[in-house]
Amino acid sequence: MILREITLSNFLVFYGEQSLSFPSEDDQNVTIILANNNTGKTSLIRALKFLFYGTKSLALNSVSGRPSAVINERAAHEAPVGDDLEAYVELTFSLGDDRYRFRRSVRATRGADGLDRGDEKLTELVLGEQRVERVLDDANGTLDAKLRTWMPRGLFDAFYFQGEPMDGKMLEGVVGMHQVLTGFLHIDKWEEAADALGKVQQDYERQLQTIASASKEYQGKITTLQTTEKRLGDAKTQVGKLTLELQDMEAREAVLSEELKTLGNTDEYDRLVQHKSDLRSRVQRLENDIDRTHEQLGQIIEAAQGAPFLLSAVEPARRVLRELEKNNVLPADITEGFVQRILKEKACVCGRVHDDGSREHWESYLKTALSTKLSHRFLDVLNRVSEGSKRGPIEQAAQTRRDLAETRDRIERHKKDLQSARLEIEAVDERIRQSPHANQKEKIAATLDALRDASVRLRRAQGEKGTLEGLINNITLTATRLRKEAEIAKPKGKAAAQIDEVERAIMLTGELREFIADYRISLRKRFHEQAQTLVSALYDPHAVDRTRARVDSNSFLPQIVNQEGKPQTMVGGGQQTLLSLAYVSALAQLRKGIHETMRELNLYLGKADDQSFMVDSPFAATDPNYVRAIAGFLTGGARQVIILMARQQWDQAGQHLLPKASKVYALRLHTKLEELQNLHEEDFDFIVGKKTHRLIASVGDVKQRYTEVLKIA
Amino acid sequence: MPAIRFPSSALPLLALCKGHGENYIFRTYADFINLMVAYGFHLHDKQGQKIPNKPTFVDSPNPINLEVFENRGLYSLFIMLALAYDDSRQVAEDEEQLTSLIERYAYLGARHLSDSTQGKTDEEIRIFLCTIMSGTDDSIKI
Repeated sequence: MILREITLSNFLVFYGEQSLSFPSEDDQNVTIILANNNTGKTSLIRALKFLFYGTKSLALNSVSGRPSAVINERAAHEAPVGDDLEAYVELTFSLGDDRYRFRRSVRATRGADGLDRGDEKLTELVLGEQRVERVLDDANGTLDAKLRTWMPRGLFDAFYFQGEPMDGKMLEGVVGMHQVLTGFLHIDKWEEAADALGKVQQDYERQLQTIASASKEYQGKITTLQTTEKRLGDAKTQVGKLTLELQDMEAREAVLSEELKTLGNTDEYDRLVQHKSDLRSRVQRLENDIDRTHEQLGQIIEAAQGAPFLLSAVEPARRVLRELEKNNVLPADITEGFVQRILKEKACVCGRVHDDGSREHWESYLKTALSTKLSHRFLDVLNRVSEGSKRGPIEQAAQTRRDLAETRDRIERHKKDLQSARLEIEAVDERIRQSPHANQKEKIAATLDALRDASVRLRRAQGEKGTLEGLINNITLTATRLRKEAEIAKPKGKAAAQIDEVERAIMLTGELREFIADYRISLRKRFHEQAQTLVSALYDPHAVDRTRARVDSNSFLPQIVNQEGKPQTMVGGGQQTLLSLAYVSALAQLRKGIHETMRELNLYLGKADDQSFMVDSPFAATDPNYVRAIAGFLTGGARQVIILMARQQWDQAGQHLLPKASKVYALRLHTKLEELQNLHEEDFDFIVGKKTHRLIASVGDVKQRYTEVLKIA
Repeated sequence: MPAIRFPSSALPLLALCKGHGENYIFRTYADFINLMVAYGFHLHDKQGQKIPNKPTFVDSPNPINLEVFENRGLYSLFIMLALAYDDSRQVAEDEEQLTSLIERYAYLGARHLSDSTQGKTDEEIRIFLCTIMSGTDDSIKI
């Protein structure tokens, strides 16, 4: 299915009528839609879902899921009471050479308290060469059934997925996968065909009975033979069913064994746990180092004796002491005590008795003389403040500052190391949480239980199959004998010719039934082979780390393996996204292939053409190396691609996508700017080429909020 | 011998002394007071802050005898400050005047440090001291 044009009228955030058209030519098949978060990207995908499956598929929150909840709030608010209001989605698409246009609408009446429940309606607008020729209402659900056949519900999320395909139903496990694959392989159709053939065979058998009624003996033989062959057919059908069940069981067992193997192989998990433990020790060591370095800082501060603060005292103190030195007061050769002792004596030191002159002379000494103690103290200070002193404040301050700088650097280094170690612990924690080995014991126990259960069921089914095959051998022998006996008792003449003809028809019908049973089995095998070829072709050339995609032969689940073929359990968002895109794209191609094969067998399954993809935010959590790879895949790996891009993703991948884009649309949000939380108008700026587009505009009231579609390039 | 009384402005900083906090810096009150004195001198001399005329003191911790400072090699620093105070030997050779000057410097230094480190953790006080000690005189070549 290739999308041509979508028109939205008053649908969800889209006010009024707005259209987007999508190119699909070989070299022009990429459409980009730019929009910030919460401005309408997802509403576009919901519009498609609404068209295909109606309001019930939308999980509407408003007023217990009323259809009228899809009607744009601004339009509803503006409608006069009593007026009818309609919202619709109209989609034009191609299947092969045919073009179709469908419209699904909801019409509701505006009451005093808002819209009533509303009625939903689906119509097909039959297209002629130039215009719509007829409008068909979906009176008996035919149109709905047609749409669901063309776009099965189970496949919608795969083709129009919302950013996290690996979380979707496609890859969620064997059961979910099996349902989707049943859709892909059309198992139900094969069963219908086998049943129809069974009925045809019964008709032929009844005819044979009628013809054979002329000969009682022959009729008896034929009746017994038919009963026997019916038993044989039933047994073979049962074996066919069992074979399929056995395949499923084997697949389940293989998946569980693989899971157990992965759980058992804890090398990576153990390495992470050990790494975390090492990091914790490192954190502890660094914390101790920081504490110790802080202690050293204290020791340096204490040992400094305040020297860095005393530097300006050095010069004045030196000056005073030098002056004392100059006046022969320091060192104190004649101390204060000595002079006082001289003055107490009758005679001077020279032996003459003191007279007024000598006393006056000694008393003048007393005024300047220092005590012995003070002299020592002054001398100590002088030594400290003298130039070149190793124990003075200058040298001490310099040393202190060197020590402080070095210690502070050490603390900063430790803190930086500590921060990076803590961040690393967080990262390792996250990887441990994401590891398949988290809660390992419980998982191993549960997987072991499931594996044991699966093995028991498998062995039992294998036993049943063996018994049935034995029974088939016996019945086949009996049937061969009965066929010979019937041949002998067969009437001659015209009746014989009729009998031969009917018997040949019965035989051919039986062969065809067997063929269908065999084909269903071989279909799985072929499906796997083709899926592997396609996924490899789509994934491998784009994987920048030389990993490869492998599709499991039993479960059909895709996985990433390294160059040695070992499964990669810890893969980034980019690889997963790329694998998902490749897988979904491969399944789409396979679906088309299966449809064509079945059409060749005259089994008509509805139309399946090349598929368009709408991808919402494919670059979320993507490694930069993979941005280019995914962009390359998107723009070259599918027939039609519509990419919805948020601002951050556009900044990241726009340069790779823009050259490939045939059309660029943008969704501009009209809102009351005060309602934007933590966002600024510039956050809505998208740069396309050399031009900046601001995808936000102001309205006066929050009730007037809506989204407008702009064509940018 | 006279003693240096413990300034009341230093009480919020007692955790820096052994016996009052787990992460102490100073093993004796004398070492702590010495730093307050030096810082007070710096604030007065380099930043022009006024030395308080009537500082207040607490009874506990007890006054610290000048001998204790002398034994720890800190007394000569006091002499140096006294000599620098008025460019003369006058205050330095009078123990009462010297004690009074040292007490006033200690009060000023402690008050400023208490105010600046209010609400800070032990680690932050260490870093603060480290910062002010590293940046006191850029003319010193390290």
